[in-house]
Amino acid sequence: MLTTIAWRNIWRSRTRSLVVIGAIVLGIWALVFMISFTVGMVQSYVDDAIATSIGHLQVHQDSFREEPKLAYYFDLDPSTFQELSALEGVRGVAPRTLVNAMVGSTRNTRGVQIRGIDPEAERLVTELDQRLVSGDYFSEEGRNPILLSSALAAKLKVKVRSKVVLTFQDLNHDITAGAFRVVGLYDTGNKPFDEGNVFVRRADINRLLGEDAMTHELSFFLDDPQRLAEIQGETKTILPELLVEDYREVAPDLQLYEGQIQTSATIFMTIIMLALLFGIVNTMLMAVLERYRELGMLMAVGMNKGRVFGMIVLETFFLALLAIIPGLLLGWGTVVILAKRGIDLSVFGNGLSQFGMSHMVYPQLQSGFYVQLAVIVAGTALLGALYPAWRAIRLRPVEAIRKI
Amino acid sequence: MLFTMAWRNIWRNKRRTFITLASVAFAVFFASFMQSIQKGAWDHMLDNVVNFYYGYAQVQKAGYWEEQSLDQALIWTPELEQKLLQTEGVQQVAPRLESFALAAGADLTTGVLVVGVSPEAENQLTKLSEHITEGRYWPAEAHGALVATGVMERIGMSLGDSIILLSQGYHGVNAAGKYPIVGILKFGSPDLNKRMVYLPRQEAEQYFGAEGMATTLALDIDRKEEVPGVIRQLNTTLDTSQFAILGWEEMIPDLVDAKELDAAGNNLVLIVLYLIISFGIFGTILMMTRERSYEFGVLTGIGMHRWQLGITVWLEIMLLGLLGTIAGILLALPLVYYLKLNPIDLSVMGEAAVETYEKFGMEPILPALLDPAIFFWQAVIVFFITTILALYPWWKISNLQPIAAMREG
Repeated sequence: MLTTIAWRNIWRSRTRSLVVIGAIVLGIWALVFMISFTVGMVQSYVDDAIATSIGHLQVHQDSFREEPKLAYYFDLDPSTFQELSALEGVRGVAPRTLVNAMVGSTRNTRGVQIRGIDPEAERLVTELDQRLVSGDYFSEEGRNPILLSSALAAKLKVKVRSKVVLTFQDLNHDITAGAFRVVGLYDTGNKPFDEGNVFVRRADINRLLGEDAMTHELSFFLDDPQRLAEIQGETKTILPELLVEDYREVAPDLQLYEGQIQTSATIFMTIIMLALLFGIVNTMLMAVLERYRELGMLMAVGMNKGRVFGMIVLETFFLALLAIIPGLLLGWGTVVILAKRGIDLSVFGNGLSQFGMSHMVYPQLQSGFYVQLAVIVAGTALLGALYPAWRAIRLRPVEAIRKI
Repeated sequence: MLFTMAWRNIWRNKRRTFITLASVAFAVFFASFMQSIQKGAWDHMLDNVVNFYYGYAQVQKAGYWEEQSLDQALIWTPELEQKLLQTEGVQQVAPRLESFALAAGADLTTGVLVVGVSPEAENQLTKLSEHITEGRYWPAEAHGALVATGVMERIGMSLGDSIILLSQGYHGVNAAGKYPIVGILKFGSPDLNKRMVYLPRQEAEQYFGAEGMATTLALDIDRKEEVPGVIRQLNTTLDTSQFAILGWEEMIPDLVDAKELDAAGNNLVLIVLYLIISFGIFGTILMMTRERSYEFGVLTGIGMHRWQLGITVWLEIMLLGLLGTIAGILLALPLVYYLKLNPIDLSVMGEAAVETYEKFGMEPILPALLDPAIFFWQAVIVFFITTILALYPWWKISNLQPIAAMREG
């Protein structure tokens, strides 16, 4: 009964109801869009960081993580490597030798980190071979091949087949240098990474350093990230004396970003909900005030305060409900379409690659969020109904009827 | 007259006026607050990089910017210095000779940027001496290296130790040298902290084997606004086939882009916010027009021109918007001013947050920018919105049938 009255009431002032509904639809759509955009951007950054450099798990010497000294290495014997690669759920394990060095061409010099890698293993973990823009990936042949990023190559003025010299300190702190031939150029899209890292075969750099089994880092890529904790445990039992960390521990900023999603979603929501609240209170208050006489009459003929209160709240609730459904559908549709097509931010230039982010953003959102949003909008509407409803039950029937 | 009427009209329904005012004030408050923080943070970051290092403009040998190598250095002559100093707006010229090197401590190495500078000119431009935390700035007879804290940490050294620098000098000669660390520098920008090593120019020239040369000439210009003028003058006085003149925006294009992108994201939030508030204002207007249709009928009936009525209603809506804007600005001003003096310190968010900001080359503080333009723009936006929304009652009034309107009421 009350429901029917409330439902009919909102259609008595059609334009006004539609304005409020329009505002809420817009608010919901904007929230879905902005939050899915943020999630998409952050998620792709985290995924990229895992895929191009960090991997899901990393193994180091304890002290190497505190101070990345050349001397803090461990020996990796082939049987352990086999055992780790064979763990269930692991796509690949990449051993790396990491050395700070200076790379020089005939024209220029730059400070870089040498990443001494096993070509086959690295392919499984970071798909480095997929990121080449010219030249070839490492092969068995050739002496001292090296991969540079195209950005670094441009700074050094070198091309494929040019020669560069790597200068670094060996284990005895003596300055050592080696000549390397550029076999290919890569591009990960992450500018700081690209300008600061060069890849050589681990065998070559280890030979220059005089330690064949030298390894500073193992990086794992998992087929099944769900099993991360399990695999971390298994790795710890195989390598008890080493530090095994997941990507969140290796790069705390990644975890921070993941947390950042919730923070920014909360901020967006608060702002939009506050703005909506003003609109809802405004509209409902008007609805109450212009019906002063009618409400007075209803109460005079015996409708009790609880029912009047309930009626106003129900009206607001219906308004919200009418907005939530199309709002969510619109938002969901937008996310589905954009998730497929992506949003190209390259109109804003190269600003993102400076921060290691890709210029394509694919919005995404878990289904739980839509439910959460619906509940919050409904809650906001109810909150907005309280004051007008309270005004309605405070009126005195006799005076209200007398008033024009 | 119309204004008085409009003013009285908006106070006929106080409660509705207050709700509308509050919603406008909220939007204006929030928008100006957010923009002040956003612009403040970016300006702070750009200023860090520009003032502490690049300078607002630089003169280089043509081709140096594309290939930053010592081989592209220019010859630094007194005539050139004279020419630059005669340019209007240029206070000082700081010649630099810079290149990358591998810095080595006892058993750690890191890549650094070695910059040979004239102690006095450099200090005038970038206030280098104010960044000294340990040791002291070079006296007149300069020798030894000034090293940034980040580099010190990476190679595990302290004041008084000697830093070894390995590099390639002019035309590929080997460059190796050992310099006592006479001062430690701390910069706001984490990026500079991690890679700067300063030498006096004479020592750098010997080290790189590039006597009498400089890679960049940083110009000391007082204000950002003077930069285009200086560049224009230099483009006529200097031989542009030999020299390139770069403004700061050209030297950090990626940061300028990133700033734009961030601003675009914020603008999206603000657009949505203002749109929702517009819906609210429209609700008010709708009601106002409806409940007063009798009154409108009477007024036109007794001979008031429709345009007069239209203007009154527009003035009412405008007053609502304006009052809301003023209230919003008055709320935001003290907060923004406070945050300008006491920037938000993000290090309370923990170590990870600080590291993240560092990764993006930012200091973990957010100072607000107190820029009248930000507040002015909010007023313009509200003016624009209310004018558009006023079209509705205007349209209603121009189609008004006095008799029917009076009956309806």
